[in-house]
Formats: sequence, C-alpha cells, structure tokens
Amino acid sequence: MNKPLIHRSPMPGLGLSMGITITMLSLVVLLPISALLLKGATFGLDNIWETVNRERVWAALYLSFRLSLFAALFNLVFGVILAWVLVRYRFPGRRILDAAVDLPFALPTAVAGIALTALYAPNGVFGSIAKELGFKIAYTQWGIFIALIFVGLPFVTRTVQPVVQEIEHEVEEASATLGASRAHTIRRVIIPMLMPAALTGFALALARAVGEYGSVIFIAGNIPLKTEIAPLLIVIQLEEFNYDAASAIGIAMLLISFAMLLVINLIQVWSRRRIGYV
Amino acid sequence: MLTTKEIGSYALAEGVNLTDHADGHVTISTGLIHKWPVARFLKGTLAALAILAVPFAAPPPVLAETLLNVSYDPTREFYREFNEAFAKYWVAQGNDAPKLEASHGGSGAQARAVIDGLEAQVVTLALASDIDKIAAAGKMPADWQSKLPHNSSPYTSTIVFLVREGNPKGIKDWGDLVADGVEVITPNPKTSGGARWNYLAAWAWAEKNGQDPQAFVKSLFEHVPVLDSGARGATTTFAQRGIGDVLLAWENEAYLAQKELGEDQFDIVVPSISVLAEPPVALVDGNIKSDEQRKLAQGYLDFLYSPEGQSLAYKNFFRAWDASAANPEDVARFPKLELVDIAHFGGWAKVQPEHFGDGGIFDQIYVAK
Amino acid sequence: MSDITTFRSATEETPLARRVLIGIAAGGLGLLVFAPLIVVFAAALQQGLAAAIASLGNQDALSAIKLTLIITAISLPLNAAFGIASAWFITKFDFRGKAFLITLIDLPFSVSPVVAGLCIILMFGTNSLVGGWLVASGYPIVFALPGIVLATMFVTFPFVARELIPVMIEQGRTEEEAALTLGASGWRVFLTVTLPNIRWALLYGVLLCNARAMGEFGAVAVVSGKIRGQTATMPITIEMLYNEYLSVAAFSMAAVLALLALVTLLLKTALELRLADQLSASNRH
Repeated sequence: MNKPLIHRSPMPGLGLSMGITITMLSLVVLLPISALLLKGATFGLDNIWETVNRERVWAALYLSFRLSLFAALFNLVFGVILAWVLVRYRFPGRRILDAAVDLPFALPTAVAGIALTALYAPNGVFGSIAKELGFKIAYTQWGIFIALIFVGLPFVTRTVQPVVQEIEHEVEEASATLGASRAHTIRRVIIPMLMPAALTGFALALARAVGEYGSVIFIAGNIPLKTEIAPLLIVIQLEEFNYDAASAIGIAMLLISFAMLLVINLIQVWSRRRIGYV
Repeated sequence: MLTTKEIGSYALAEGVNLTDHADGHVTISTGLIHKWPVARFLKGTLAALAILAVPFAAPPPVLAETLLNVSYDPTREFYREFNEAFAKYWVAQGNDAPKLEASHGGSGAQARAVIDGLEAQVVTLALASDIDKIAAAGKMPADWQSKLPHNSSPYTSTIVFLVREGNPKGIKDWGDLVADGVEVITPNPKTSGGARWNYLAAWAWAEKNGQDPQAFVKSLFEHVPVLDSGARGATTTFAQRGIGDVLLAWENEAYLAQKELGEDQFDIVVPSISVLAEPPVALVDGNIKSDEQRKLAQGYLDFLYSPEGQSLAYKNFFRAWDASAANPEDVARFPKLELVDIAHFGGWAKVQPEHFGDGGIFDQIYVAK
Repeated sequence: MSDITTFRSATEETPLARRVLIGIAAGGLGLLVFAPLIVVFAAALQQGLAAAIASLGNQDALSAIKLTLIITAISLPLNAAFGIASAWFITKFDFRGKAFLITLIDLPFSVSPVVAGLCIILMFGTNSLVGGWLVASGYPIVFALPGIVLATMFVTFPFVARELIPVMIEQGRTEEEAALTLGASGWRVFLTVTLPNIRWALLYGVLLCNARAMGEFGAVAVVSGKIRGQTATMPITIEMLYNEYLSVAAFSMAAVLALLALVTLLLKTALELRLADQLSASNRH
C-alpha cells in the first residue's frame, strides 16, 4: 500500500482551510480535552477502571446510552419527515413550525426540563392523560426518553433540510417518467440522497443526548440503578471534590461516544466511496 | 473552440474547451498541487490564531475597592438587601463607596470555583466542609472557623417539613415519614448540601428514639420516589408536580416557597428534633490584594453580626443571633425545637466521607437487590 | 388546471399522504416543543405582562442580556469561519483519516457540557500550568469573558461544519473544477460557485449555533463564576432567579431568550422571500 497521505488536487485553499481547521480544532477542542485525558492519565488506568466498573456506573451508562439511542432513532425518522414537510409543502403555519425547530437549543436545558416535567408529571396536561391510561411518564425512563428527544430534535431536521432544498426536481421527474411509482422514487432515489445528512444528524443527536444533564435531572427522578443517568454521576463526584473520579467517568463516556461517532462516520465515508460522487 | 456552459444552477462558464472525453468529462491540466503546502498552511494557522485572539484581547481591570462575595442558593435576596445596607454603612464610616459583587450557585460548585481561581474575597456558603476544601487548597488558614463568633455562622437555619394543606397524612415527626403509603420528597444528599442536613436530622431522631439510625434512614429513603439534584428542584416536584406527601426543606426555603407558591396550600410542620445548620462565612486571605481590600472584607463580615445585619437575616427567614434591631414579627415566626449541631455527629470532616462519600452509608442504601 | 395537478402528482405525494405527514410534523412539534414553550410563557405571564416586563427592567437582567449577546456575537462568526474552512478542507480534498478528523470535530457533542466545563477548568484554571501563567500575566481565562466564550465555542463547535459537510458532499466538486479550468481565482470560485450552493446549510448551521450559544448553561455555569451583573449569562441568571423562588422573573427571561434566538429566523425568512423572487424571475427566461 503506497497511498499518499493527501491526494493531489487542483482545488485552491488547501493551506488556508487546513490551517484554520487544525488550529481552531486544537485550541478550542483538543487542548481542553487533552487536559481531561491528562487528568485521567495521572489518575491511572487501574483507578479509572475501578471507578467505572461498578454496578451503579454500569447501570447509569447503560441507561444513558440505551435511551439516547432510542431517542436518536426517533429523531431520525421524525426529523426527516419534518424536514421534508417544511421544505416541500406549503400550508398555513409552516413558518411557525419551521421557527419552532431551533427552540430546543434556545431554551436553557433547565427551563426545558422544568417545562417538560410540568407537562408530563402525573398532574400535568399530558401526564394526567397518561395516568388515566395507567402509566407514568415523568420520573420514569419514559420521561428521560422524552427529554432526550427534545434536546436532539433540531439536529436531523436541520441537517436534512438543506439537502432537500437542493434536490433538483429533474431527478424525481426522471424517475417518475421512467415509470417508477412515487413510493419507489422515495425509497430508491430520495432516501439515498438524504441518507448522509440524516446519518450526520442522527450521530449528533445521539452524542448530544448521551451527554445531556440539565433537562434530564428534572424529569428523571434520579433514583440510583433505575433512573440515574451517567452525567449525574459525574456531578456527584464533582460535589465530593473528586476531580479524578469525575474525569474517569467523563473519559469513559467520551470513549464510548467517540467510538460510536467514528463508526457512523466511517460508514458514511465508506458508503460515499462505494457510490462515488454524485 | 469556445463554449459556454452552465455550472450548477448559479454560474455560467465560458472558455476554451480543450479535451472532450467520451463520457462528457473534462480533463484539467492546471492548478495541480505538487508539494505539501507548508507556507500556506502556516498562513492559515496565523489567520486562525488571529481571529481566535480577538476575545482574549481585553485585559480585565482589577480594582482593589471591589469585593466579591461567593455565596450559595438561595441567599440572593438577603445579600442584595445586605449589600445595600452595608454600602451605606461603609460610606457613613468615611470610606469610599465600595463595589460589591455577588455570585450564587450550589454550595459545592461555588467552593470549587473559588479553588479553581474565582477571586472571591468573602465566601458565604452552606456547609463548613465546603469552606474547609477552600482552606485545604491553601487560600485561608485551616482554623478559619474560629475567627468569627458562633462558629463563623452569623445566621442559622434548620430542617422542617412542608406538608399539604391540612396535613392529610397526619405527619408530626420523623417517625411518621416511614409509615405505609407516605411519600417523602428530598433532594439527593450527594448533590445538595441541604439534603445532607435532612439525612442527618433523621439520623439524630432515630438515635434519640432508640432506633437503629442506619436502618431508619434506609427505610426513609425507600419512601423517596424522586431524588432531585437540588433543593429548588425538590420544592417544585413537591409543590407544583404534586408528588409526595411531605417535603424536607430548609426552614428559610420553606417560608420562601410558601410566599411564592401560596400560603393556603401548604403547612409547615416542625418536628420534635432537627439540626442546627450553620452556613458559615469566611475571608479568603489568598484573594486579598491590598490592606484596603482586607479592611473592606473584614468590615463586610463584621457587619453581618451587627444588629442591622442580623435584622436583615431575620427578615429573610434565617435564624440569626441578635434580635435587638429585628422586627419582632420576623423573630416570632420561628418556633423553638431541639436542635443538634454538626459537632454531635463528629464534625464535617468525619461525617462527609463516612455518610456521603463514595461507598459511604448513603450509597449503601442503593445497592442492587 | 385539474389536468396540470394530475400531471404534477407524479413527483408529489398523494393529498392523503401529505396530510398525514403534515399531521405528524405538527403533532410532534406540538407535543414536544410548543407545549413546553406555552408552559414557559404561561409561567412568565402568571402575574400579568406588567410584572413580567418589570422583572426584566433591573440592572442585573439587562447586563445578563447584554453579556449573552456579546458572547454570541463573538463565538458565532468564529465558528462560522471554522465551519466553512473545515468543510472546504474535508470535502474538496482527499486525504487519509478523513472520518477520524470529522469525528474529532464532533467530539464536543460527545462530551457532557459539565465535563466540557471541567476540561476548560483543568486546562485554564489557576491550578493548571497554562492557566496559572495566564492569570499571573493578567489574562485570566476562566471566570471571565474569554472562558465563557471558549465554553460556548466548544459546545457549538461542530454545528456549521456538520451542516456544510453533507451538502458539499452531495454537490461534489465538478462545478468548482469547471470554474477553475476557466481561470477563476480560488476566492472567486468560493464566492460565486460554492457559497450560493451552500447558503442554506450555512444558514441552518448559523441558526443552530446561535440558538445553542444563547441557551448553553452546563458548560458555561462551570467556567462563569456566576458573578451577578458581570459574568452571569441569561441562562445562569434564569437559574439563579429560579432558585430564589422568583419564578416570574426566571421564566420571563427564559421567554426573552427564546424570542432572541428566533430573531435569526427573520433573517432566514427575508432571505427565503428574496430567493423566491429571484427564482421566479429566472424561470421566466
């Protein structure tokens, strides 16, 4: 294998774009994270493992990652539908819906958590309906699920929206002219075009949900082994002035998230290579 | 041959068409990069550094006559009034008008901020153990608590019960909390300083009434359906979400909650025994820049103990020491009850790791069955 | 007319499918976004509009609003510049480790905001090597504006880049290559060929970045010091007010924050309308 590190390209701006990318990435992201890893390194791998390898930590990590995955999957489907509806259809109230997509980011997470709990608690508007039907939302894993959907909601929609906007009608028309049914066109032409963007949004929503703290603690109930999320364990360690243990759990979460994102990004780069440039 | 082509939908291109391939592609022969673009990479780096430097360019002014009081929740209203009163007093003493700043947050997080470099000249936190951590970081002497009267606590508070109007479950004392069907709301002792006092008060009651304290707090926490991370979250869960029959709360917060949420909805129940919570104050020597500033900080702390400072504490629902200048109504609202202080449990240095540390007694309540 | 609509339906969903999809979109947003928003506004207005406005009139509230706007004004252009540069680098060149680089850009999302704040404290706090030196030379990072900006940039770092990359991948490079063969300069290619193609993605990235920069609490809370009137941003002030049992003031500020974040949407709408004019004009040719 004698692949070059970087292929020759007639494109301009390699130095400038690479310089800005690498420098800002290093200063804003890599430097602070390396401080965290350094903290972990001085703490020692054995100690990190000992901190993480406890039933309560595993239960929290499992809960966080499992519910984040479900929430991100929900957002993947809902986000694509929402993006499609907002770009393609004209109906009264469209702009209001469009404006609402960014709100989950604009509301501070604690406010969102308080507002969601107010709605989904047993005496809330939706919570009381659920109670009639015989189940609880707030203070159970369902509550966490809803909060995680909320915080990740904008990602898929906002990554897919520009791609839908750029789809040229000719492609669909061509497909239709060739006799494909609408369902077939959507499945074989449109969905593949939206896939890279949708996957990106999915990955971001997943990662964001895993790390979410502010909104979840209000709706979760926070009972150890049942509804205790992993970021709460970090806060607990910090309250005890135990920076080492907090860093250890932080690093464990970072590594799992990083691995998940890397796999998703590899799939994307790989599938792109297979398909080639459109 | 000259051709005009549409590139995408936004640009038109005109030029000499050199080679047409069978598949319609065009070969490009110019603009190839043959080497790693080192010089241009450096240029990009410099550009990035330049734009990043923008927010770092403003040097903050450091003034000696400012005073930062790093405090906990919810003392904001109290210190707002207190700062105004102190500024007046300080000027009346013939000094320049001071610039008083305040910061509020969770007690533990605030202590961490001071350790990590938040330049507080005065700390007024919820737990002595939090200030001990600041002392351990070398910012003040270890015997800080003996420098001011009453264990450096100008005001105190205690833990009381907030129950629903009319007290439908008939809750009178700690023992009633573990009755069948009673749900108790308290924040998590691991993240909330106030909740540690809740736990210790329950412990003290069990000790006094001949029960195994560890078994009692265990069964108490089995009656807790929601463990909020902070006192305010727990109050909301109890008052606005309608969860639970009784809320364990700071006395001052119970009054604040009543004021905010309606006096006709909740009753305050005072148990037979509770804790004497002493939120301490201290001067952070390590952050004092000048003698002038030290004088100001010391004056600020001393004023907390003055009759005027004390009356403001009473007004804001704290149990202070000197009622001479206080409104009698503010004093009369506090019923007498038996109070145990932290020394009873052996001091924070012992209590914190034993009960609330990693794997401590509180953690043992929640083990997998 | 009816013939035309029948003809068009080949590239559109049936009216029933459209209605179902719109119903799902509106219902989902209603349950998840509008309902909480109504709760916030109801809490802000529970004592009437006058009380809500009065609660925002004090010096602390105004300086919190000002601080949040300053932070957003600094971090937004920086992140937009980074996003464009990195998307260009990633999509216009082939190099090894591309997926790894993209994942590094994503990294801030996989870090819990609390940990993000902790990272910055560990790097720039007084007890660290770098931070100690900076503080000694009179440039404290944490508990001052630079730290808050850094924390905000950290949590919003990937937004613009991640919006641009999928779109630029979908666009390919042929248009830029063609323009280059015709002798256009690099900047000209970027401004006239690339930028028009990515403007929507750029806009959405900036919108997201703006909303998140204004609303970020977790990371900023760790590094801000929460000094009233100085380093307390809007989300931090909201938390302080809430903990003081001043819920009208807290929710009023939250409502203002939600409205502020939506101001950028006006920009988007204006742009949309202008483009619609352009498109209809060009279609007539």
